[in-house]
Amino acid sequence: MPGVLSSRVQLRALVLGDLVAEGGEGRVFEVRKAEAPGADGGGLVYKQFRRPRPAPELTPTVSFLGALDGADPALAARVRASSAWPVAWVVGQEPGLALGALVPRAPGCFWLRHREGGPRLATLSYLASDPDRITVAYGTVVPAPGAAARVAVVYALARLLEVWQGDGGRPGLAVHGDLSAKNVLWSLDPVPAVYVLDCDGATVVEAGAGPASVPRRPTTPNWDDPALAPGAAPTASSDRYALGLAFLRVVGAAHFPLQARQRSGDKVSIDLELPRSWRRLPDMPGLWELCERSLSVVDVPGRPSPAEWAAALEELLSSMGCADLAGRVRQAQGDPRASQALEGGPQRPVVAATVPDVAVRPVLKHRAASTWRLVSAPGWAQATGGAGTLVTSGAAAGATSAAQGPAGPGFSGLGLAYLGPRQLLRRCGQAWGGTHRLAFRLLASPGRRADGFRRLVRALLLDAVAACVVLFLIGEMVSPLIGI
Amino acid sequence: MASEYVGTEERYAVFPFYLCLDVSQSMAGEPIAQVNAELPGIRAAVGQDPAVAEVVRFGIVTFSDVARTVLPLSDLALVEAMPTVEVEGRTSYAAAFDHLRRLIEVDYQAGRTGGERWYRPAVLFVSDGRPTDPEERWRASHRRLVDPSWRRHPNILAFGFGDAVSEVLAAVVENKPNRAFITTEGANPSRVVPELMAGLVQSIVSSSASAYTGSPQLVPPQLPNMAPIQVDELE
Repeated sequence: MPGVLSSRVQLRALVLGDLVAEGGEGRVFEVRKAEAPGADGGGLVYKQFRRPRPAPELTPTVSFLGALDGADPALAARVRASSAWPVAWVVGQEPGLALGALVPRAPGCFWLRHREGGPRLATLSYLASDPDRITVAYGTVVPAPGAAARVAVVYALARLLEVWQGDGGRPGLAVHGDLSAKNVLWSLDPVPAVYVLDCDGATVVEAGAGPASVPRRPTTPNWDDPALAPGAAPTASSDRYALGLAFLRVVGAAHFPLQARQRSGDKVSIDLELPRSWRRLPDMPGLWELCERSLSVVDVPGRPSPAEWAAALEELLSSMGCADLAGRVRQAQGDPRASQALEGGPQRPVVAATVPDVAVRPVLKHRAASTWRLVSAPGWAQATGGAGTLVTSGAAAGATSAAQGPAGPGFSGLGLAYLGPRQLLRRCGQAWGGTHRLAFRLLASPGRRADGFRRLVRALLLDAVAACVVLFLIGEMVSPLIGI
Repeated sequence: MASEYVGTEERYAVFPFYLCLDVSQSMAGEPIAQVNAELPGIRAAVGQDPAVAEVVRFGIVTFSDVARTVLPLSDLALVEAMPTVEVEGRTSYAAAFDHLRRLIEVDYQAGRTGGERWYRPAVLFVSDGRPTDPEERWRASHRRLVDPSWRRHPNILAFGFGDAVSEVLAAVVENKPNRAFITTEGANPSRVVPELMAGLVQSIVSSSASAYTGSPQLVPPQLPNMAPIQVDELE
């Protein structure tokens, strides 16, 4: 069990497996075995830092969970369920220098598969993107914009941050500093949940100890806090900014550019597109005001706490008729207490003076039908393979637009003409299976049922036509034999 | 305080990359087989990562006696399979430059019509030989491609191996520092193409990350003594 490891582990006590990932901050290896008392290394990975870091600075981070366990085990359970919080530092010859960290491996529900290839981390990039594009490109079905499941994912994140930024009597303040699409994983099965990575770069400021800022760490450009000077260390307020941004991008299923405009000092007015089903919900000025305050670069100390967010999202889920979903999220995090109860009774967000630099308003509209199409390359080389230089303006324009949204002429069709009969049959079989599978998966996905129904009807019509053709051909072949 | 409306449907400006591949006879055998083996890796690394694919557009042009678009500029997430390239005739740099000049303009106009904003395109020029067309001809075509008065003129990174000539590659990148690369003496030829393709992926992925900042950089593959070049956004 991770919890029984001491806070420092010798590198030589680890039996490392394959390289799992390599990124800007270091390399991640499987841990086959950790030769520490009671630890088998199961479920852990070793994250090797690109540059060793002084171990004493890191100690509060590893001891944070233990301290939480002492103060309120349910809060520690929340952190364990929702983040890869480091369980130990790995040291070499020099005991004061951490070469890396042992962190829990993301549980299986936070991985997904594309139409092809191995498992991939289910990063927030999939939710902060046009769901139709994700479905067409990868065969992955994500909920429709504005869906309660999306709200519940942000709620799970708010509940985690609520522990990290807890006040009064808790063992300190944890600042992650790089909450971004690539560092936050999501899952809907069995319950909406998040799992935050790169927590070894987080800093824990013990209660009553100085300002809550962390040493400078690399941040993700489109998720960073525009209130920070270039290169400045992120603060707890930066995590609050990321939470507000995650709400807009995940619930709105959009990855809109924002920070550059905020840095230029302009006021930004964000039109959050949501489905018309939100008309049935009561007016929620408090929710939009919460978004505005979260994103403000003028009133950074006024950014709402994660507890405020959690309470507001509980209320939103409840008005969407999904109060039980909030309960299941809490249950899965190991802490069934409602945020409102935890913070001392029901509270409505206090509508403070509106921030001058951000305005958020919901725009309710019908989503246009999806126009994304997969395009197939083998056809192009051949189709455009005539003598001389070949790209005609029409071909290039069509292909570009086909790949970018509005469907151009059917280039994928051109590709089929150059396939052998076996390849053609296989491709047809794959397309048939894929079309039906996708239709059924969309039918099972709330908010995307209409699209699934359309696809299913189309697929069944095609099936019927194909069956008629096959029957006709069989009839043609058989009729002479039986003398008709 | 000036006010700007942000629609959540708004997308980031995209960073177009054109891989311009020499498919002359000298590429026959192992080099072309290696290129074909490595092309799906670009799709896997760029297209299968939603955060990278969102801001990268990628197209492939091959050239020999003539130039062809084997992959029109595409969102690699939506490309089902990468094309394979085949060896053809001689090495006409002029055909490549003329083709790119037309293609970039057409793609830009098509992208604009579709509401796309573009960063200055990058051409990743890969050649294993010297141009077989007359020097004045390919230089004239090159001048048209990099003509500063043409607002879409691309930034070019050039990579040479085999018989490629460093002076010619330097001319292709307009003698700008850190943009032309040639294999060093004694390099293992069978490692050159796979390493180069891996380097291109790394370059595209790193450049895409910077595209989210609003002031992107064309990041060359990591080699000693190299620095990113600033890239400006087209109007």
